[in-house]
Formats: sequence, structure tokens, C-alpha cells
Amino acid sequence: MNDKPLSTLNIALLNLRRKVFRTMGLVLLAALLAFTLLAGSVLSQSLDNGLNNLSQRMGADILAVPYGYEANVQGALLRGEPSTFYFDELTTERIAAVGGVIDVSPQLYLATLDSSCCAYPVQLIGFDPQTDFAITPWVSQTLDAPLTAGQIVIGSSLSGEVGQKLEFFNKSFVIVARLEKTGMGFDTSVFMDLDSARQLAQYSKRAGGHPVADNANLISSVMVRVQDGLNTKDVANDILQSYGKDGVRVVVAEDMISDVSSSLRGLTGYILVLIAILWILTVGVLLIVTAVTINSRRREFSLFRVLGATKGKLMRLILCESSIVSLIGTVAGMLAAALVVFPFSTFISMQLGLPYLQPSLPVLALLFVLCFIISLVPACLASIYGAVRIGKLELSRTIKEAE
Amino acid sequence: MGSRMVPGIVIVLLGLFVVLVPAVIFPTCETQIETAAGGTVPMRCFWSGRAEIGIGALIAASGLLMLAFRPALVRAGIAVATALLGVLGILIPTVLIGGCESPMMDCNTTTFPAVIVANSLIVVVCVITALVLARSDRRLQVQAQQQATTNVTLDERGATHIEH
Amino acid sequence: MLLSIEGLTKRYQRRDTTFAAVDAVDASVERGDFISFIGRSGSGKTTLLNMIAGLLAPTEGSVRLEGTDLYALNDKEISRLRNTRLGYIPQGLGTLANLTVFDNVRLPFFLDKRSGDASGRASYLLEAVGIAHLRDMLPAQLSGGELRRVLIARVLMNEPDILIADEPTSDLDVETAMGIMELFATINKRGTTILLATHELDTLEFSKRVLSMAAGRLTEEQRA
Repeated sequence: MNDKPLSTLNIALLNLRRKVFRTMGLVLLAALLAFTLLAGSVLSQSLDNGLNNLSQRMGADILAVPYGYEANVQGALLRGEPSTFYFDELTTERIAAVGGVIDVSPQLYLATLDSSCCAYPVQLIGFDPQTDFAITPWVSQTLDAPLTAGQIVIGSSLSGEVGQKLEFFNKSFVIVARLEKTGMGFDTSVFMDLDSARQLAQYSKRAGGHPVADNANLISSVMVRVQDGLNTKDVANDILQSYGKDGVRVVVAEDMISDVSSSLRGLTGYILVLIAILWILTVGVLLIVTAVTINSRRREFSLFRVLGATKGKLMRLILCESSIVSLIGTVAGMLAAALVVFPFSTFISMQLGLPYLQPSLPVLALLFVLCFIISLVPACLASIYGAVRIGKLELSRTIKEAE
Repeated sequence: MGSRMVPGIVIVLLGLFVVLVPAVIFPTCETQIETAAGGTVPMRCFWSGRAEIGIGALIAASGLLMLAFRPALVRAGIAVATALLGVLGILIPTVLIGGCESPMMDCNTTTFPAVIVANSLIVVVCVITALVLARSDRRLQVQAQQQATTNVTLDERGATHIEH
Repeated sequence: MLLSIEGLTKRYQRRDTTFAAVDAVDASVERGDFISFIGRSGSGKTTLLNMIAGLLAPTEGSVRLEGTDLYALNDKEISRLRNTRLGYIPQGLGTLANLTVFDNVRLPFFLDKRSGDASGRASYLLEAVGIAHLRDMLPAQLSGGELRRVLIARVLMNEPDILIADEPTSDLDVETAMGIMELFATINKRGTTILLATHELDTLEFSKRVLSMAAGRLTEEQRA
């Protein structure tokens, strides 16, 4: 039936096929390692990317928000959680007067539950094109002229093409630009100028009433830029000292980023530990299996030698067997990881609640190659160990033992 | 014999998974749209989910049929049809019915990725199964032909022998 | 002279004493010989055959195959010699359990670079030793006598000059043993030199020469 030549590869395949359970177990272990490696590294790279993006796009050094809403503004920035909190417009000028502050710009947040197709909470951010320094710099990457009334810029996760109209509270806006993916709350935000946002609040009054509708002088936050060379924390402290009694609280961007980066470090730490444990486990198991295999197959290997196989041929056989197992396991594991990490990336980023931005294709390709190599190292180590053991195999002794 | 069952079992399990995703594991968005008349209707993603439940059930049934039939070509035929069902399962949420527009909605973050991955696996498994079965069938036919020709020569020899 | 054995000695260290498993054996083997080594177990037959087969380096003395000293060769050269010219059926080392009967027989062909019709020769050999119908079986499904025939077919795969077999008929019933010995005789008639170790005297009638061994020494030679 089968006239295939008995090459080293074919003998290795026959050996593996006759030991189905051992082979399956080893493949599963290799797959688990490769899965964790790829999924873990894509995850931590995406988080790393998200953090970098966050610190690049923060713009402001300090965010001034009403008392009790320090956490909300972070939620809005990191996760796009719609938030509504307000204080008096005058805060902008007050903060501008604090020493060390060079730029201030007010922002107004509105939340909506009313979008064209699917009910999904969208954060509306009204900003002042005249004074803004936090949003305009990177909005302008996709926008030629400053935003005027009735125009909006939408985050990358929102549906709608440029030129299309979008309705909020029954008022329609023209989309003039889309932002590229940021991995942060901006992805689900809609940007418009401050006046439009205030008008919109008026409209929303009919839909349920809005504090901004009753008092047109409300804003949600003040973006603050501090003079270079000054300690941001000292300036933030000054603002707090001066206006804390008026219900103004501050969020220092540096602190926020370092908070994110420390929780990120915790997560990547877990991932790294998991990978290390699995890797060591795989090396250990493969070494033990190789040792046991060679011991229990001494007869078989002696027989090969009697029939005229060189030591090199036996080493190649061992190498072939463990390479096949690792290769199948690694490819299966990496495939499984790719099928989880990429299709479910939005779900994962929502679950993590941290800025999450997938690396670019070349970086991903590099990750794939690296994971592939690292997953195959245990098999190589086991093969080298096996080769050494086979080199030490004493023929006459095994023949004697067999008697 | 054992390996003959593997594709059928895998397809049954994947089909059941496609049924369970919209039904239990990752349901589609539950919010309903208010119509002008004041009533409520489910969103598109809900119908996509419904369709996937049906497709998954059909795929699981095809897997059972593959387990039930023995001839290689019959099983290969079922595999091809099941692969096409898998393609339909991919097209439903992407092109034919679709779901919510926001990529942040449940259907786009969980339900659809899960059914698309499962359906892609079904397509891959079915195509491989069909190819393997078609090839093994061809090999059997070649063998049968060879046997037939050797039989003929033997018959001829037998005939000449009788003549002597 | 095909094979010359001179002063072949193997000493083992046992605690404080050394003892010689094979002690200064001289022998010469001509092409076409059929030699049986007889002796009780422990007389050194296996050690002697292992040394002749190029598997066990002697303490002293030499084994020369047409003038080539086996133990002056490196691993590659001695492996090739074992593969092509010295066919050895050791006692206790049987078949490869993961390979079918057919693949077991074909295996030696593929352990060195060569071209030719391996499958054709393997089929022919299985036919010749009378087990062609077992070719796709695994060794575990075979009886003792059938297994010996697989080993003989395998050892003949590369047409060795010398066939060495250690107790090839042990644990077989008399009838099966005779069948195996007749097979050896046929092989010998076709020109293959055969060296056997045995302690079953009724197999001796097939040999051309019988050498008895005791305590590592060749004691007497009887012409059969």
C-alpha cells in the first residue's frame, strides 16, 4: 500500500502517529505556550501603544473640573464614558489669572442617548476654537478650516462618513472630519464648537431638560497649559488653593498618565509572568519527556544503530520528532490567538478600560516572528539534550540489557 | 475508522457554537428601537442573530449527516454544501443583514466576531474535508480500475489455458 | 579470507577482579562459511558476536573484514559497514514496534544514501521468507516464528556479506526452529556467509563448521 521512502521525516511521523496521546499532549502544551505568547504580546503592545497615544494627545497639563468629578473626566478621556458635570464659565478667567498658567480653554460635555441607528451613549464635546490648544492640533490633521456652527468632527468608532449628516436632539450636523483611531475616549466622542454645544443643550431641554439650557454660562472643564519649566503640580496646587472653595478641583495630566501606566505595568507584569511560567513549564516537560522517551526507546535506538544508523541519523530523528510537535502546536496556538485577539479587539479594550491601540502591521508581523521563534526554543533545547543523551548511548550495554 | 468521525464531530460542535453564540454566549444588543407609531421593534443585529441560529442548526445537522453516511463522495458533497452554509453565516452579519452601526455595540464587539470566526473555521474544515475525501475517492477508483485490468488479463490467460 | 579475528579479548571490571568475557580468540572465516558457535550461556558467545558485528570495542585484538580493522573506523564508517556488509540479528532486539512488517524490512535500505527499488526488494524478501501476507501488519500482531522471519528478511535487505545471528531459534518450538534453520541454509547456499550462536545442538546439522566456546575461549573445532 504505502511505498513512501522511509526518510527521517517519515519515520518521525510514523513514530508520532503511533503515540497519539503523547503527541497530542505535547502539541497542546506547545499550542498553549504559543497562544499565551502571541495573545499576551499583542495585548501588552496594544496597551503600550494606547498609553503612548494618550500622553501624546493629552495636550493639557492640568484639567480643572467641578468638585467630585475628577474620576468622571478620566473616564471620559480614557473610556469615552459620557459624563455631564458643570461649573461656572468664569472659572476659565479665574484660572487664567493663576501664576504660571499660559493657556486656558473651556470645554462643555453633553451626553446623548439618541443617535441615528443604534442607541448608544455618545459623548459630545464642545470646545472653543478661539482658545483651544488641546483638541485642535490633532483635529486639524484631518480638517482644513476651523470648525463652524453646524459642523462636527467624529471619533473613529462612530459611524458616519465625511459630508454625511448626523442628528443629535433632532438637530442635524454635518460631519466634516473623522479622527483616526486613538484607543481612548475620543473614539466615541463628537466634537463641535462651544456655541453649537450650548444650542444643542437648549434643544435637549425638550427631550428632558438640561442644566446648560437654564444657564448658558456653564462649562464642564477647563484645559490648562502651564509655562515650560514650571512644576505642573505646584501650579495645580495654586489653582486648588485659590478656587478649591468655589468647587474647583484639578486633575494633573502627568498623574493620570502615570496612573494608567502603573495599572498597565501591573497587567503586562502578569502577562510576562504567565509567559515565563508556561515557557519554563514547556522546557521542563519537553526535557523530561525527551529523557523518558530516550530511556524507554533505548532498545529502538540501539536497533537503529545495529542496522547501520549513525549517531547523527538518530539525533536528526529526535530533532525531527520534537520539531514536528512544536511546529504544529505553535502554528495552532498562534492561529487560535489571532482568532481571539484581532476579531475581539474592541471587546477586549472595552473590558480593560485602558487606552488600547493595536500596533501597526509591521510591528504585528515582527511580533508574530518573535513569538514563533520563542515558542520553538523549548523544542530545540529538548532536541539538543536528546542528542547529547543519544551520543552517550552505549550500544553493547543496551544489547546486553535486552538479553 | 476513528479519524473518519473527526470532521463530522468538529462540524457538529462548531454548528452548535454558532447556535449558542447569539442565543446564550454573546447575545446581540437588547435595546429595541421605538417606531414612529410608538411600538418597539428589535434592531437589525437581532435578526442577524436569529439567522445565525438557523444557519448554525443547519450546519450541526450537516455534521450529523456526515457522521451518518459512509461513501466518501457523499460525505464530500455534504462538506461542500456545509462550506457554503458557512459562507452564508459570514455574509449575514457583514453584508446581507448586518447589525448596529457603532463598532462599540455588543453585536459588533462580541456576537459577530464570534460567529464569523466560527463560520470561517467551518468553511476551512469543510473545504479540507471535501478535498481529502475527493482525493481518497479518486485513489479508490484508480485502484478499482487497476484491479479490473488485472482481472481481465487473468481471464484472458484462463481462456487460453482452456483452449490448450 | 573474508574475516580474520586475532587475539580478540574483552575484559570487564567486576569490583576488584577483572574477568575476560572473551579471551584471546583467533579465528578466520572464509566467504561462504556457515559457522555455529556453541557453548553454555555465559561462555562469551554474545560478546564475541557483538565484537565481530562492530558494536563492541575489544580490549585487545582485532577484527578485520577483508583487511579493514573495524575498530580503526569512525562512527560514520563503521555505521556504513554495519548497514551494508555486516547483517546482525542480536538476541532480544527485535522489530521496531511503530513500523509495519514491510517498513521494518525496508528500513535498512534508507539508513544510507542509495538508490534502487527498496519496495520491490522488500516484497521479494518477504516472499522469500514466506511472510508476504503479513506485510502491512504491525510487529505486535505477529507470532514468534513470524517475527524471526521478519528479522531475517530485514537483515538481508542490503545483501550483507556476512549474516550474524545470536540465538536465532531460541524460544521457538522445534518445528519452527527447523524452518528457520532451513531458511539460513538456503541463504548460505546462495552465497551469504553465516555466523550463528546457539546452544541447541539439533540445529548444528545445518552448519559447515562448529566452534565451541567455554569461559571466553574457543576450545575445539568440529567439522560438521
